[in-house]
Amino acid sequence: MKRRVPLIITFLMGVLMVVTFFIPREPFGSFEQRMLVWFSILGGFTLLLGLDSLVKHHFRRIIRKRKDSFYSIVTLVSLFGTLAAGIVTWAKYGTPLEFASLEQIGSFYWVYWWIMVPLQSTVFALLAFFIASAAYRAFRARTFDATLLLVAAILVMIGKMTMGVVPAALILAVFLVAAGVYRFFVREPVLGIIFGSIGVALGVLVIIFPAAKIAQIAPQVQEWIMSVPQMAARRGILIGVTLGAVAMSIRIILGIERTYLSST
Amino acid sequence: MKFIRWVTNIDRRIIFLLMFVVVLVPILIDIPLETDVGPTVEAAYTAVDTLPPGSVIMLSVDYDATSYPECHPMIVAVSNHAFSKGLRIILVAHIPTGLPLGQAAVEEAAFEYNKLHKQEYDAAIKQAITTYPDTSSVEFRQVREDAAVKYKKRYGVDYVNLGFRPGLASIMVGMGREIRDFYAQDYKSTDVDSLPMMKRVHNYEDIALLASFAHGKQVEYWIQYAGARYGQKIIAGVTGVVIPDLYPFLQSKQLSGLIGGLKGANEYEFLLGRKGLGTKGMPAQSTAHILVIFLIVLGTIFEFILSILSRRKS
Repeated sequence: MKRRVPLIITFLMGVLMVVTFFIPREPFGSFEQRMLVWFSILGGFTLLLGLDSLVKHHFRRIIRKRKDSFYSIVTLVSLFGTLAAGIVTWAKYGTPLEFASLEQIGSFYWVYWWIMVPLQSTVFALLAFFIASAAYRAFRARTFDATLLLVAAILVMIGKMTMGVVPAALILAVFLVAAGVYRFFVREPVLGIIFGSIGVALGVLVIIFPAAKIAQIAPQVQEWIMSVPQMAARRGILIGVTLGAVAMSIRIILGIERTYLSST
Repeated sequence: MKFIRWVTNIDRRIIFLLMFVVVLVPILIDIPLETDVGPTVEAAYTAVDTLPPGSVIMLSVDYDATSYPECHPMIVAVSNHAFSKGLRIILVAHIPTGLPLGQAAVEEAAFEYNKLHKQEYDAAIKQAITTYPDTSSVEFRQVREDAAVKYKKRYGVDYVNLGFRPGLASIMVGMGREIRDFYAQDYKSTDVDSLPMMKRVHNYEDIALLASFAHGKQVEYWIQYAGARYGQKIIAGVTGVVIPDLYPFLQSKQLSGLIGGLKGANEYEFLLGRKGLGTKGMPAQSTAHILVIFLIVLGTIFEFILSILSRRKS
């Protein structure tokens, strides 16, 4: 019974939602809308569940005096402090998001704007440093495929620049020549000649052509990479993923896929 | 050999320091830039620019502070553009921590518009007082309202914030029938029906353009649920990493325009003739790109040399 009831509900709802999609007329249209509203309400409850789980977890850690329970205290103080700020602002202005200007904001908005936004931005900004370090240590053009990938990536990066396009293109030319020389040493002379000559040609073109022209061509090259080879690969992936999703949905509706019933 | 090994194992704090310098210096120095507008940004700009005044544009805030530097300049630029064209804005959010950013962008755009047209508004009111000295008269009120419509952007009349609701896809589909089923009240708990702007807005048929500012998959959901099913015209403003995902939809015309990354924001600001965060941030992004390219190439060349030397040895 514990297994069968959820399976029946899933089957009925799955079939009904498919039917309502293809027959939007009444009563199916209203039924679908009602189901969507229910879904949204359920979504709200999942937020509450998440809150409940977070609070319980950190309370337990504090009570049991686990290692680093100080961070649990910080989490709970931040959570309830922000909640209190929201309630106070709500009581005062009728909304927690009171915003007249950055100088005239409610306490919830103050917490958001001056604590949460800088913290989130800072953590994400650290990526720039780690990417730079990883670029130096991890990105290597040991094989032909890896070299192609790196060249494409560098071309896209150059296309996204509004200054310094010429030095970046020269660095790319040096890289291609170096890759060509390396291919010679690993006994792939054809690839060596191809990479080397492309590198030399690119270097000569960058030196001969005016910088403004190079800056104009770079975004066009980037646009071509994005809209032709990249898109072809992306479209293939998209079609594959979508077919997989359809197959998985049918499996769930028919009760073949039951992993979502975790306890059964 | 020793030198090369030392260089390849260089202390990463030196790399961090280099990155810090190349990002900081262009921010401190105001560098003039040449901007070439790409076709995808131009298409997004045209999609907004060609809407008739009074049309409704829905801005979906699908990013949060982690993507602030890339997405925020876009939403600010599009809000400014929309107000300058006499469009009305509906703000919704699918990321609760992103909603205040969207609200700040639209409020700032409204504030900027009102500040720009303050003199005209004051002059119109002054003229009205001269013509109708009785400020409580119907005529005076009508002239004042006309001046406000022309020179002011007001909450409820020119823009509304419907807030955040959970249930991403269900809301996108459901709004095709009736917005009120999900957003009966705005973010201030005001009945949507009491907002003048919303009186005739019920579903996607009443929304001329949808603009999603996202750092994830939300644009694809909008295309699937609002675009494919209801024929909603959509443009997107996304972070750099999301751009490749959306190119198939651009080619299939399911996406009418794409503002991609900080450069996209910079291009949109250029078309708008406005220097915002996108323009200010581009030099720093460009120098950071040069550094990353330089480091990749340097690291690879040292790797080549090490590999060749070790082969010779063996």
